[in-house]
Amino acid sequence: MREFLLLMRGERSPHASPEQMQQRMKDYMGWMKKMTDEGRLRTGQPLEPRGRWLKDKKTVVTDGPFLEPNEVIGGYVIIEAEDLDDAAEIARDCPLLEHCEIFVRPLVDVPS
Amino acid sequence: MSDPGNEVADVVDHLFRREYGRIVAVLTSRLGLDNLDAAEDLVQETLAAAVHHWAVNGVPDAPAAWLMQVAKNKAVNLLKSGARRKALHRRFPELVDSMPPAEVFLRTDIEDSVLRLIFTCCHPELSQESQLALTLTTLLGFGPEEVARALLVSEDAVKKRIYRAKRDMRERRIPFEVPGGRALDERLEMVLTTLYVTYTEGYSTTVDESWIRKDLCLEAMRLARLLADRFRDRPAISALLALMCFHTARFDSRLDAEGGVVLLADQDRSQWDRELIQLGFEYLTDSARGEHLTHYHLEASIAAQHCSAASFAETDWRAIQRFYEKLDEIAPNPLVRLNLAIVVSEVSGAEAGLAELENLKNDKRLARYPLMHATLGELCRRTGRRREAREHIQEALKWAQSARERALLETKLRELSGG
Repeated sequence: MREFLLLMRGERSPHASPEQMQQRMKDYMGWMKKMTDEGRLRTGQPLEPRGRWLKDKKTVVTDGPFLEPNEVIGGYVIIEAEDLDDAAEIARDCPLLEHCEIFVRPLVDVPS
Repeated sequence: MSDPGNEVADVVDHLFRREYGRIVAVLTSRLGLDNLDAAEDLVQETLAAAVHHWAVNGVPDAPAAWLMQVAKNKAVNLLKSGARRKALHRRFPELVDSMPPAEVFLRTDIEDSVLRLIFTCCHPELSQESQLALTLTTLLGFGPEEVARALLVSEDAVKKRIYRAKRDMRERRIPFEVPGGRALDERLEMVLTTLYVTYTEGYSTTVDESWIRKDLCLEAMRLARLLADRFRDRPAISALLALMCFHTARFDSRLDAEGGVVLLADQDRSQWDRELIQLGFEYLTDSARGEHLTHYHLEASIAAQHCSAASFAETDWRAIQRFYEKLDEIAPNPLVRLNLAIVVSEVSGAEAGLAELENLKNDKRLARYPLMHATLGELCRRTGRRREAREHIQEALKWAQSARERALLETKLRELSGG
């Protein structure tokens, strides 16, 4: 088993109603419960929709607060999977995929 | 934090929507009404953060407090960061002081803020349409799409209304406060009207049913209760609440299993919510204090009569007629006259009902109102004028808005055409 970063990027409906957000969470929790039950879930956090982008020493782009909806990174989770294909399959089941894109990146295997 | 594995369905229904208005209210009380949009954005972000955080870490023990705290942290960070300082209110340093990170919001503080938001959204400087739009979105946390569905208008129209409402709010320098002294009575009346309109929009059966309509009713009731707790010496609030209780008690019995309209005469009265009816009577009794008789008192009294009748046949139509007559005195409008005519036909027969309708027949305001024509049709049928009855029902069909209403009228028409 290896660790994979799932990055939830973009927001297809930035004006979702509170009720829709709650439904979204309910769906997401269902998937997350599966991750927990299968022992895959390592960690995860939401991210603020604003930040800085340092292109080089001189160029700092202030991202946000008015980020383009498709630039928002809502959050990330780290899960365990067999390989990249397996991780991508798991991510495909994530209900958040209806509302954003998911990047799947393997964490480098390093000696512990 | 609890174990996420066991918490999948454990978030209270509508929690996000309910907390929306409360948090917007608290943030706005700190940031100022000029920053209402910023407050709403922060709440939106907070809900998005909850989606991610709760899914991974489980639902916090006090979810509402968690949301409030995260929203407040976001506001404080925003004020400190300076990134958005320019977009925020000019009184920036005071704002930071007024929102110390360790501050705990007390229940009374939250309620005060919500009350201020209610009075602001229902300010007389705003049109009735704007008041309704703000109440439904900013205060009650419905999204524009949901409001559009409930009010049968386009989503774009709703967004425009919200935009105009907020623009007027800024331009007219509407204060974020609960008015005091003599202004309170007049303003409270405005608030009650908006809650009443919100409720009746939700309750009307002229449009096809969806869950959102009942929610509208329940949310309007929730705000009315908050007002009743705060302004105990205002019987009109109790009268409005009584009315809401009686109507809500009958909510589900108005539709059959297939979603067809069930008329009052045919409703299964054992389905009515007895507890709510009991509560309605408590509010009605409470509303009898004071000298001012409002249309809420009369409408609640009428609904009370229906709710306490064991069957349609046993309804005390004479009492109801008296209430309608009084209502026609203090708040005359063609709909009240129409209802009065229906009641008269129960008390004194169809001919008497038709006589009452004579004056209303040419009222332009009812010309496109299906119930007017359906009533004429029904009363003509009862007096044996089948051909006229058919014509009236056909006219009603022309204006009927929902499939259910049409189905009901078509059944009538078939009965009139057959044996």
